Amino acid sequence: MRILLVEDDEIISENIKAFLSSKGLSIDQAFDKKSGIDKCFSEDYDLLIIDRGLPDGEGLDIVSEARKESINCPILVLTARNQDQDIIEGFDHGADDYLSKPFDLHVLLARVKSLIRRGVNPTIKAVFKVNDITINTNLSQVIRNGNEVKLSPREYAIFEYLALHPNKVIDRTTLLTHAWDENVDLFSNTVDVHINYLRKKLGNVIKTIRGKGYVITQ
Amino acid sequence: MLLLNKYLSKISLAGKLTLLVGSISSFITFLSFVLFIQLIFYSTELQIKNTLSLKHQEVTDLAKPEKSSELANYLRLNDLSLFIFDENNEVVARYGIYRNLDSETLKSLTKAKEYEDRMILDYGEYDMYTKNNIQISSKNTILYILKGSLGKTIIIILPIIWFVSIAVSVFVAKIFISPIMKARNISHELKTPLTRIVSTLQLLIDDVPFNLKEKIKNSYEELLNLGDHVDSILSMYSANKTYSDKISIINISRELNIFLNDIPKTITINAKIEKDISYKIDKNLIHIIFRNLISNAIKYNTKNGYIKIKLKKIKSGWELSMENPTGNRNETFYSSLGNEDKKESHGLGMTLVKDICHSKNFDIQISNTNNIYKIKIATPQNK
Repeated sequence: MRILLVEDDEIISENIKAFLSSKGLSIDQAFDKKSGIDKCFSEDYDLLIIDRGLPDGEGLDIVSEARKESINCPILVLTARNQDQDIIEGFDHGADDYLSKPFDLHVLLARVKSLIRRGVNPTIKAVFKVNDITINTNLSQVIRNGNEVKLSPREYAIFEYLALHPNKVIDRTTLLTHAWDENVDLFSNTVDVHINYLRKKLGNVIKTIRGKGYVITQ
Repeated sequence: MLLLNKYLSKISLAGKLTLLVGSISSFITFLSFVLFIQLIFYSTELQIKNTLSLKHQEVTDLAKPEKSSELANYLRLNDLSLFIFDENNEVVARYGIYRNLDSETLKSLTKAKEYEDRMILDYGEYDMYTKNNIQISSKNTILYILKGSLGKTIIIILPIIWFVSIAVSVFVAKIFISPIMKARNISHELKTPLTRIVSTLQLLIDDVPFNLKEKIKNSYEELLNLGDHVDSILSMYSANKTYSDKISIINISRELNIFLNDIPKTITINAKIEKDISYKIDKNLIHIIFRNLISNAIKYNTKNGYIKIKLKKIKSGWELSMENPTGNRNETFYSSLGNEDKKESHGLGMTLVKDICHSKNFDIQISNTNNIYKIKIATPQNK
């Protein structure tokens, strides 16, 4: 899943990126309002994480702009202000959730995962099954036949994305967009390589639809 | 008042400011409008009086039998009525409305002040000027004059007043919002480094030996709580109602027990805590009080010392008493709790306890007998 993180504090931004990336999420960073708006309009994100206090303005402006442009992905607002009034302001601008600073990174991860799940399919729970495979999105854990299957963060990201969209053919570009960050080489065969790794670990659960992409059928 | 507070607490900050600016500017505009109209009224009255006084002078000069036709012309041209009476208040001459007035009314008019406006039955309001037994009067025209002035005031003066009053009220609103904005900025300034530290500690936790893990975890949990405490403290110091939304009914007994469970077993605790004492307050403020009192009681205790803690229900809420021996503690240790003037540095914690107690009107009693320090904090009687 691909996330845009708009946070002006480099240390906080890098820490969040390091933590979420280790859990299989792809993070693009923006450090001010302008670049946040630019990236949000030019890429297809599964979630936006936006800090309110940005050097060139209020982070909530990005939320309003995104909603005006019909960008419907979930938005999580980070704020140093956690009074009711500030929270209401966030929701009024179109945010879906908020997290007050300082926060526990695990809480951030849980909120992120929950928002992404709800964005994709509101009925999916944090722990869900695809065929004989159980996926715990909070722990980024994949269990098959009672045993945990160790996946790299990228492998987990691809598998989770396909599992959240069962019976839907996902093309390579979509996978590159949602499971990799902005530094991906669009012309490499990295998707095929990772799908092969996944097949070796999970069996033939991911099917190839020739000329179209990949699908997990249920 | 309570209802108003309840209602105001539901309005957003922007709404409150709009209300504030709107109320102040409307009040200023209304007041200015009333004052302006009054000013116009009095200046018009003064103008009428002066004009009548001049005319009275001219009428007095003409009030001679040989100039009677000149007088009649003058009265007609100036739309004036005339009434002359002698020392016995008997009618000598009358002109205009005075011709139609009965003798009783005329008699009453002889007692009129030098300048007066009077309502005359069937004729309306008249401005009268009386001097040397000669009274002239003309139809009161102040309303017509005022109507004109009112128009000019509404078109020209009121927008200016309104504009100025908006500027004034925006200035007042800025003063009002200043502590809120300061509190927000302070909150941001404090929470950003806290977030940096917390997130860095969390990333590090996987790479440290097991015995350090627990310590790091405790530290970052404490830092996370500190974030909440920042808001509560700022709320208290900025007296900001928008920051007071953390107030809830909390179980004081349970909160105190949580703190007592964390005290190291090296010190003897004698605690008598009444169960389920509830109180409506910001939980973080109670945590700050408990933590500082207990940690100071431990820090400044004697070797093999003790802490006696008693929490009991009282009519107004609750009363907390703490007692502990203090071997080498400075005599003025708790003075910062009770005395505003003494600012000895005993750490920020006790000053915070004092400020919280003052802001909540808690009663604080401190005593020191034979190096046994006792503190009693009780909720206010009128609560």
